[in-house]
Amino acid sequence: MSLKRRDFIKIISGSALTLPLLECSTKRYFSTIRKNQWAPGVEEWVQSVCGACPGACGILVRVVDGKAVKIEGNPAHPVNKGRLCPLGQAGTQMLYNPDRIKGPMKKVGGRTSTQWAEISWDEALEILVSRLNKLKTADEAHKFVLLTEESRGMCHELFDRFMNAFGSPNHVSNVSNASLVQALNLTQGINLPMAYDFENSNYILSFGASILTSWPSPVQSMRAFSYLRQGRPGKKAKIIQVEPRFSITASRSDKWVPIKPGTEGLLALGLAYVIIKENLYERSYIENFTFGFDPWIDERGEAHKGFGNLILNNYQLDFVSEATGVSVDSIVTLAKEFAGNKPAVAVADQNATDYSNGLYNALAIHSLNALAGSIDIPGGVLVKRDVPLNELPVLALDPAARRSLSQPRIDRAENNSYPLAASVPSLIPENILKGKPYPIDLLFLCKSNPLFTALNGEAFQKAFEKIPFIVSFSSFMDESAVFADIVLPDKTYLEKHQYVESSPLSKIPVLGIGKPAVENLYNTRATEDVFLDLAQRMGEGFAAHFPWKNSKEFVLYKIDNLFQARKGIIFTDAFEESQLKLLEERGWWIPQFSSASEFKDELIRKGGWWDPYYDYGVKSFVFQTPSRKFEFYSQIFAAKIAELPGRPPGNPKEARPQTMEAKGDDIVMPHYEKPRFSGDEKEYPLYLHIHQPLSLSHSSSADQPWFQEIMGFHLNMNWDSWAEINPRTAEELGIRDHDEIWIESVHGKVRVIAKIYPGAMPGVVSLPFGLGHKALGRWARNLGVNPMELIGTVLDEWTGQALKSSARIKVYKA
Amino acid sequence: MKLPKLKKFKIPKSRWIILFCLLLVAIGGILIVRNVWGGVKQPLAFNHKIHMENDLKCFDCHIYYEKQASSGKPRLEICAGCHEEPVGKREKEKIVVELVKSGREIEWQRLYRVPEDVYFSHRRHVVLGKIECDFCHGDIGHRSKPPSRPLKKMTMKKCLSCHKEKGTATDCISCHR
Repeated sequence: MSLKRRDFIKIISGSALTLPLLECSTKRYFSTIRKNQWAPGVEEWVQSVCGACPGACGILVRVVDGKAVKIEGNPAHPVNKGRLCPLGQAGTQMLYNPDRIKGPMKKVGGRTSTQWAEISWDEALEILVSRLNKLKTADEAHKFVLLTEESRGMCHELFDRFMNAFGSPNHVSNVSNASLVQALNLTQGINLPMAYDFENSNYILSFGASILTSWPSPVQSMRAFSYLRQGRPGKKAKIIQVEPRFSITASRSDKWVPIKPGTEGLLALGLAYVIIKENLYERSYIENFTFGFDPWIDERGEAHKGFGNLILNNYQLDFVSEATGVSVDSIVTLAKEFAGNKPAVAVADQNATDYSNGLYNALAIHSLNALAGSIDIPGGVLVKRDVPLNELPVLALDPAARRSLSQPRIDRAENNSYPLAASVPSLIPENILKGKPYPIDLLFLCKSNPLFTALNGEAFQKAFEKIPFIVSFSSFMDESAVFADIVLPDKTYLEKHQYVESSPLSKIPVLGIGKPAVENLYNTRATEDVFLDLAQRMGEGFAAHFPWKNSKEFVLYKIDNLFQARKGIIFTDAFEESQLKLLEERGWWIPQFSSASEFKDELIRKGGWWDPYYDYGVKSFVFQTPSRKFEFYSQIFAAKIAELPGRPPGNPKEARPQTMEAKGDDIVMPHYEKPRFSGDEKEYPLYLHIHQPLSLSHSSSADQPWFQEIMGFHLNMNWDSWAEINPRTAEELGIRDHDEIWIESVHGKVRVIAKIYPGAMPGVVSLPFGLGHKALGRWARNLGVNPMELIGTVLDEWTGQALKSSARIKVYKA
Repeated sequence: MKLPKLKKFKIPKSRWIILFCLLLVAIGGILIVRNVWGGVKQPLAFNHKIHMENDLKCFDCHIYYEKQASSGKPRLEICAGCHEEPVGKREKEKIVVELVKSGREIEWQRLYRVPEDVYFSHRRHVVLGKIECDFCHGDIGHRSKPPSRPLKKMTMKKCLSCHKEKGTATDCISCHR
């Protein structure tokens, strides 16, 4: 074919003529960056608080032309000092998530329908007010239940006041790791999680603690780890991870000690055996600050053998080694290192306490801290000091509220089944279904999604079907919100006013002040504002209990007396901080501001307040037990047992769950109970271990593509659940890498991808928690599996904690 | 070995079909060239040179580069500062005066870009690093017409060589965030 000159000219002139016609439409197809409305590019950095986890890091939000475009750590914030984890970095993806609920909605067509209709805020609130007033006038305020995720902080305080003023005893919040909190309560009399001071430790012995992943304040612990590894001048610390799985934390430790699930406490007792036998413990500390170590005789003349003898008689190394799977050599080395590298600290989290013997595991592990003298010293276990926030005005309750408040709670356990539990949320569905102690009429869900997170999600679903009216305050259409009759979407933490105390695991009081970085993106309202609005609408008498117009006023009220606290400092640079610390150590404090309003303005602008000084040696604060010492023999525990009906006073011998092996004094002391698992050992030969990747530790994080991408980066697994199996175990079962397998327990079965991983212990299969949503959003729905389906509702017999590591499983090819 | 017989591919006889195909290819080619490598077109033929000659400095219009990461795009009010009434006798100035009167923003387009994952702060480079504008932006101040492409190409190699020379951070996360 030949092309003549004339044709060529025709082509060129033809294209030249056509181009102007196409000009207007081409940009849309070829432009890589979509051009929004023109904006001058004005930038602002807003100091606020991260709300992705309880760590409450300080954040700087980069806002360009009113849009949040990037989140960085606030260098002046003492918890994260400019650093931020992926959860914090991905805050913008949560803010702009297309699956957020964009305004209040009402269900159309009954409970099981999936049809929603938009309604106005006024209409929605009027519905709630009429429901609440109806309950109030019928003297049935107790039939109103509020389920919340957080058991502290601004929301908790405001909601608690609302419920009390209304007259309902049923404000139930999630109790995170009740066994660990009880370990501190029984030995030191403090009802708080333990606080740690990793940066000053020389030896960290972690019993499954996921310090670098789902720890309540991961950035703080990551900073501490890197400081101990590289930053600290002089001595580097040694970090040991005892865990059935080679986790991220284990991979960053000096040594990983694989251990049979549920025997973590026994290993701690084995270490105690070596320490006591070889006199490696702090004798002076034991004598001055502990109770129940040596044999003693009580007021009634009864002899007690003491912790030392209990250990020496029962925990010989052969037995410990066989039961835990850790060699005698390793136990001796660990014990000697722990006792010889002070300050040494023994840490645990739910990985060690989610077993039937969880409480005793926690007690045994914490007793190591007492043996090493690591309580209330730099680098040891500390007790968090509170931020001196303003107290709320005293609530003058009306007689009707008082009457309904005295009703039993919906999460109560009958017959004192869980003697150490103040609240057992797992019992709620059972109680609701039985209509005991009374039927429930109205349920509010605030950041709570029991249908996904609870072991008995199905029971919760049945119970929800029985409740006449449910209101959800979720930002996303999660599993529980689907069952609601009205959804009143909350704002994200980047859009609201709030104050947040940092995690109780941090030793010092830190208060972060959050303020909106961007204007409200959708027609959403902060749940705190909704409650305050509800209070105003419920009549003058009720409104009088809430003299704050909105959440901003509430925050200002709470921080009102920080100015007069005569301690602490607004977030500032390191120089001023160390100067203040020096002054406070010598009992001085110099005010930085002349007036309270100037102080408040600066506090809000800088994003928070803290007190860098921790007063060591206030034993009356650290030990609030009857003996004012650390109690190896817990008198609080003994007293609790004596209170139980039908028990002879002061005699804990018979007061124990039927399944317990220990007798006598042992019951109230750290000891080993054999863990129990559901499923027969022969039929279900493997253990199920559940871990929570950092990227899935926020309730809505499964619906963020960035998190789906990075959740299993150590094995290059993403966008699906995977089961980590040891190569030897896999070979025995005939399973190859990436095979589809069934994991089956007595309670159910799930289908996942097998990932052969030498970091899985033989006989233990690990699954991640956080996937397997049936709702939530386009990136989370029907992706992966929820391991909660494999676990029955097994609760700790003392604390009522839901035990996630209580199932045996079998695995076979799909 | 006998090779299979290839069918003869017939070239269509009609010259118009060939012409049409060629036309499509040509349009496609031109579109790609225009849109991908075509450069930036400003809404107004801004004359940097004449402004500089009248003793204006970069900071007089680009008001953010000493304060924030992005230097921003000048708002209409900045133009209005001088051009509410004509200050010269040039015909082209009348367009600006008209625009100022209309109150509609002039939608200036960004000429210099760094990749999306690179965090570049003007403030750090200009105020703290004391780097002159023309080091990266070339002699844009002396141009009488807005260029459609950056006058200097900014590559990572250039960033790194300067960072190394000045002893500032060269770790990935300092810029790639």
